[in-house]
Amino acid sequence: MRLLVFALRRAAWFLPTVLGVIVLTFAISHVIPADPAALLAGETASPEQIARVRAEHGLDRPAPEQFVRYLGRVLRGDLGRSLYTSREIRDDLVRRLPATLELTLAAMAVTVVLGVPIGVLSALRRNTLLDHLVRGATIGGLAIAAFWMGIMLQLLFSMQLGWTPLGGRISGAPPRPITTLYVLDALLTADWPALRRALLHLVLPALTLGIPAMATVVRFTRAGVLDVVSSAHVLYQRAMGLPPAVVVWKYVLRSAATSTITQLGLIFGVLLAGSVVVETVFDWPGLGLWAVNSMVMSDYNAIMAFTLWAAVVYIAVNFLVDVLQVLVDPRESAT
Amino acid sequence: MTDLLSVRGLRLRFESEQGPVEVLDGVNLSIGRGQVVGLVGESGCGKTTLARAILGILPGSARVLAGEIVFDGTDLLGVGVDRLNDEIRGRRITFVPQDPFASLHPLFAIGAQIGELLKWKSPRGPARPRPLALLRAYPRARRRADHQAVLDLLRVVQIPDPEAILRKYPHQVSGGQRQRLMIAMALLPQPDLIIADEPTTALDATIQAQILLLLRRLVREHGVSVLFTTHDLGTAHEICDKIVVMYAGQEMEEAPADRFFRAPRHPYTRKLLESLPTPGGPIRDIPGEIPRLIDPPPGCRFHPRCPSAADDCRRARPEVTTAGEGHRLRCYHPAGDASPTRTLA
Amino acid sequence: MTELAYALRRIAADRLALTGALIILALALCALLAPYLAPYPEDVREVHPGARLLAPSRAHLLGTDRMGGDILSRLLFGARITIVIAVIAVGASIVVGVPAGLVAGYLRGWLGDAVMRVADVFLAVPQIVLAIAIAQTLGPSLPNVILALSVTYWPWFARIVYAETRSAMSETFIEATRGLGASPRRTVLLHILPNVASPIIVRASLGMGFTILTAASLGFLGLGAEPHSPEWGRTIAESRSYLPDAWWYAMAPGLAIFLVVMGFNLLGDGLRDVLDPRLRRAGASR
Repeated sequence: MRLLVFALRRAAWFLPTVLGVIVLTFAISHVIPADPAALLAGETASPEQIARVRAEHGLDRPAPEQFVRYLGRVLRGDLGRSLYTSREIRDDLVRRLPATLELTLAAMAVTVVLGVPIGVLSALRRNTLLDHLVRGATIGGLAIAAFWMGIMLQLLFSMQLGWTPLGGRISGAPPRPITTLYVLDALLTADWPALRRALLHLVLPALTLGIPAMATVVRFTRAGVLDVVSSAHVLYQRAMGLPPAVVVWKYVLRSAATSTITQLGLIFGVLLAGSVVVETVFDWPGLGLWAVNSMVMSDYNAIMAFTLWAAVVYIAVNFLVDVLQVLVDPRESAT
Repeated sequence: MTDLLSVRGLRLRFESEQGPVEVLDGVNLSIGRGQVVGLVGESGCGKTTLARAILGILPGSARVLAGEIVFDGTDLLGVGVDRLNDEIRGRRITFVPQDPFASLHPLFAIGAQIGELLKWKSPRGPARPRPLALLRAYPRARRRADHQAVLDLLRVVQIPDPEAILRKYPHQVSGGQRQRLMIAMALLPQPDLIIADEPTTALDATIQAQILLLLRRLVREHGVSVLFTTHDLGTAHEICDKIVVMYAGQEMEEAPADRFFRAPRHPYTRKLLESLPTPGGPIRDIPGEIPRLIDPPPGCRFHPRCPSAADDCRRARPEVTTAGEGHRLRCYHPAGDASPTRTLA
Repeated sequence: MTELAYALRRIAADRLALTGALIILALALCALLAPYLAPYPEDVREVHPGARLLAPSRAHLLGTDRMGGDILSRLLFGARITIVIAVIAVGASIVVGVPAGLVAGYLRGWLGDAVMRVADVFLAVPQIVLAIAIAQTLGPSLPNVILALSVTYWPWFARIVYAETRSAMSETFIEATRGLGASPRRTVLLHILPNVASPIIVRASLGMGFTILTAASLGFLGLGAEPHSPEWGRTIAESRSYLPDAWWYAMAPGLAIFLVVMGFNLLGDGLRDVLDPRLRRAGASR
């Protein structure tokens, strides 16, 4: 019950930010440009077409009135029509979402499953060779341009070694759609050839997207564990002879997990931003690639819709993370 | 009767950035079966270090240079870490920490943490749990028996409604209750020795008295030995059978409690007792400062502040001399048998 | 001044931070002296179709690109673009963000909250996405990209300054100075700003690295640099069509980016350790 109240309060806190983002996209698309109608109509539009767009969108009306119309359209889900696919933009968003979702989830898995244990071990073996290597790797990991790393991985594994395909989400027929996530669907339908194909396509993009984020997770987990390891409760557990493995992997990790969850929102933002370039490098048919293609065509509505979508998703994830925090730390709900 | 625990000539050093720090300089300590020994001294005298050395939970920068810690016939310094962890810690020697709040994990329920302790350290369990610690299941029958033992002991330490408290988290429980929990946890494995590191320092005065009385009663009932470190002589007086005084990493005097307070012989002990405040009386402290152990005074480390100091005190540390039944001290110039100017009656 | 000297000495003592500082110095020198250091400075503009896609050799240490231009020379000139973008973008972010944070933290009340909520709005959109949107609106030129980067990075400074200002405001010594009648401007400049300086410097160094990565990503996507510009991200984009044969074409600019960002990160971490041990946490990646 308390959780529900907290969730509602947090949601209320986030709503103005969502509204603010809508205002921002409105400002970028309707207020800042010299001639928004020309932009909306597209590069190849004739003067008559531009005039028509102007009238249609009410771009000759005063700004506040335009904003209300814009807000209304956004809330109805009418985001315009894509110049790139000629479909309704909201349909495009829905169609391309699963690919991006699968990539982001896979990258998140890489980040957490690899990053957390490495962070823990690095903290436990502080100032040893392993620790120094890990710390060096994280500093390096944060300095590598994701798109470049993707290209280098492609160069090695796809071109030189031929182990993985160059791009795309799958070659051949995708598995029967249940969740629209290929790997999951292949598992659920026991379609092993499709699973193999899907995984081969997924592995390089997921690594490319996940490794820079992993550097952050390793650093935070390491710091979190270092904090805990010198604490009184760890000392007590050691004094009472609890098996070291239990102390570390059950109790210390639990404390470190709390700080990792705090970072999940930030990490998600990193992944979201990274998906734009990673999808471009690997020709991954998700929303990032859609946005880039729309950008090339100067498809204004699409870019604005993508911006709005990205912000709303980021806000929603942070909201969920806040709620998760309360679940995870019993002390939080006491405040 | 042989001592349960016998520390002999323990020399311990911490490696710090400024250089080696000689924290313990050939310390002797003995604890008999069923005996409550108070380890008394000012902050930084090494009493906590000694307590942790017995348990083997010193920081990584600690080096044992010499000495032995013989527990029931075995030198703990020579035992492998695994055996020490499995067989001694939490089983035969348990620990009551100074800060009961910070010593419980904040994110797990109290019952879960006590259960975890008993999963590995229950007297009804196997002597050596190994290998694959994480995957071991907790046998149901034993779990039930352990749970019952927990409830019984919680009632004995006067915690009302034990079932409810097991479901709570550490931050939801008061300071006094937390310390009772720690005492209960120290007793559950049915140890031979409990090491209590300033267990009442963090508590309010009124609660302190309650906890001390409880501890004394339980110790008598269970026949457990206790090593009780404290900087407060009054506390030591409440429950200790024997008191050992430490100063700057050296033990100075050791005596049965009543002799200790009635007729101490070591100048430092006498100064300590004299410095206890009396109503309406003057404030007497010991002039000078506690030495920095990175560059300690040679010989007897108290000599710079000692009224009876002479040249021999500086040259070499005094050997152990006996001043009566169970009364040992290390001093070249102990005070006479006369009582000090102030006693603790 | 002695505090600055002390800080500099400590940075010199920390080998990692020193390495970072040296790398950045090297970058600055390369950018500044590009016309003199580059073996073929004319290759920034000229094309040599006969020398296309040559592998690294003594004549061309890093090989040539699709126009026959010497990659090493073009990289050196690309360093100029990189520095200009990073310095202006981060500088503008500081110029906007620090005062915003100071004002918001000092004034408190609804105005302070409002400024921070605006900052939150900008932080909600991933930087690269917002940069794309702004570049689309205003046109994909280099100045617009710099503008877009500044617009998206100022909230980081605003937040830090806001937090520090608020905590400084609750310090008793601030109450004392205000009680003595110090004007708000004096209070802020003399008492609050020095405390805030360290986190700003650390964030600026890390921000340079992050901005360079984002700018390179934008260049890779075709935003910011004109065709045939030696900008590093754009060069990588161009190189893709010639893989795997002309591997040096893609590898060199990427390594340059890596080295430079690494330099800023090392320096930023070192600065953090030196200037404020309180901040010595894992640190954000941005």
